[in-house]
Amino acid sequence: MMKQSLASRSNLTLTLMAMVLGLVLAWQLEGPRASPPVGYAPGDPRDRAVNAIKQLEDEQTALKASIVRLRSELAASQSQMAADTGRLQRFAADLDLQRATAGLTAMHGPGVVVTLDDSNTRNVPASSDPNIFVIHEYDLRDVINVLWLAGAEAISVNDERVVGNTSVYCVGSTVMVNTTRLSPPYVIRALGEPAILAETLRNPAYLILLRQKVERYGIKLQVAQASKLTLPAYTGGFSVRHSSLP
Amino acid sequence: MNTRASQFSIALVTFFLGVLLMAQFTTQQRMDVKRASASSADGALLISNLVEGNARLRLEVSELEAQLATYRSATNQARLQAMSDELNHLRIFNGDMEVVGPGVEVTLAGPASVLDLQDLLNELRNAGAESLALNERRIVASSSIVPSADGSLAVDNVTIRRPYVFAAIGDPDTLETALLRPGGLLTVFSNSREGLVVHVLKQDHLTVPAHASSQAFQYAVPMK
Repeated sequence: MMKQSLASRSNLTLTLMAMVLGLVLAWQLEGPRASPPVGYAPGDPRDRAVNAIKQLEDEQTALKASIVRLRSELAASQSQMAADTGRLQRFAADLDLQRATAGLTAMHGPGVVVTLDDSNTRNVPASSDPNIFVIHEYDLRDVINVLWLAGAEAISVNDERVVGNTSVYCVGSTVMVNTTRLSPPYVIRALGEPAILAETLRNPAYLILLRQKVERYGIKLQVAQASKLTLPAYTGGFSVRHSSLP
Repeated sequence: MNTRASQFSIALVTFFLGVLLMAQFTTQQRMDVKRASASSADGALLISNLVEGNARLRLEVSELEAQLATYRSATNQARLQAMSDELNHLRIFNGDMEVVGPGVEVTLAGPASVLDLQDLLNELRNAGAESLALNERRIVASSSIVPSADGSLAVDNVTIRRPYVFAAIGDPDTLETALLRPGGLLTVFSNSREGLVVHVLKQDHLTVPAHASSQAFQYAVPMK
């Protein structure tokens, strides 16, 4: 009895020692590492950059809110006018359809929700590029492209509606849609026939690169069919300055 | 003896557990650092993107304010005109009508993948292209570019063949600068795509056709 408890105590000690030794050795092998910066001193150019980005993003939020307000006031005054005559009513109906097509109207309906996220893989082999374990802008573009092919009638990524002049861009490892920074997980919502949308996403002819990353590197891709989704309106600008009717 | 052996194996196992734990910890740290810290070049790019984006938003705000002022004060005739202008504006934006204007023509000779073409299309949109066509087919918001059964490409389910030619209406200088800037997409193409040759040509007069089918909503319902 006495002997056994002694043995188990020494087992525990040995276990702990070996663990600590392992941690220390691995730490040594990794070599000294500069710890990541947590913040920058005021006046540091990097601090000014962070502040500038913050200010610009605040301004962007305010501008988008103004655009939403002005567009709805405009639509209200137009339909008020249109109530007067039949001819104007048809005019207003055309405008409503064109606005919806352009993505200026929030929409709801059935569809799919595609969720994309970085890999959870922790042990990235030294030989691999860590970049391959995160979602990139081209992955999002490829999914959006296939959804349009499958007959999607409207698409959004996180809170940004995808419209005719939308670009899905990458600055460093940050994805920007409609010049707005997004962070993972990326949630793509598409309105359309749910079964057709989901089936087209599964078609082995498409999303080849993304599927490889899902299988090999643990990139996360989920597709869920939904009977009712709501997509936000586009809140950016659209300029027609150079295109004219012949 | 038996206890010795088991102690030894426990020690060995936990030792490797320790090594693995540390390796995992440091890898995670590396990935987090990558996500969190944009280099100063990325920061500058982000700022310039935001500045340009906000300028476009301010322009939109002032245009909407002007439109609203017209509706509130002008004569019926002026209001009708404003409504008609807006309808045309939206129809052009949606690709409903053939349009003309200045811009650039981008020709890709040699092999280009679907992802390459999506990349180029995205670059043109990001640079402010207003009306786009690929091999004389109008590209709208809902256009798709996918591989076709015969190994070529299909735009909105219609097969197109090489060379691939984008026509992009917009400010020719801005579009050209965006495409040709050092480190831009065309630099990437010329460094990493064997045999792919890309030409960018500014044009005073380009014609972009109307999109073949206009959209009707079957599933999506506009919210009032």
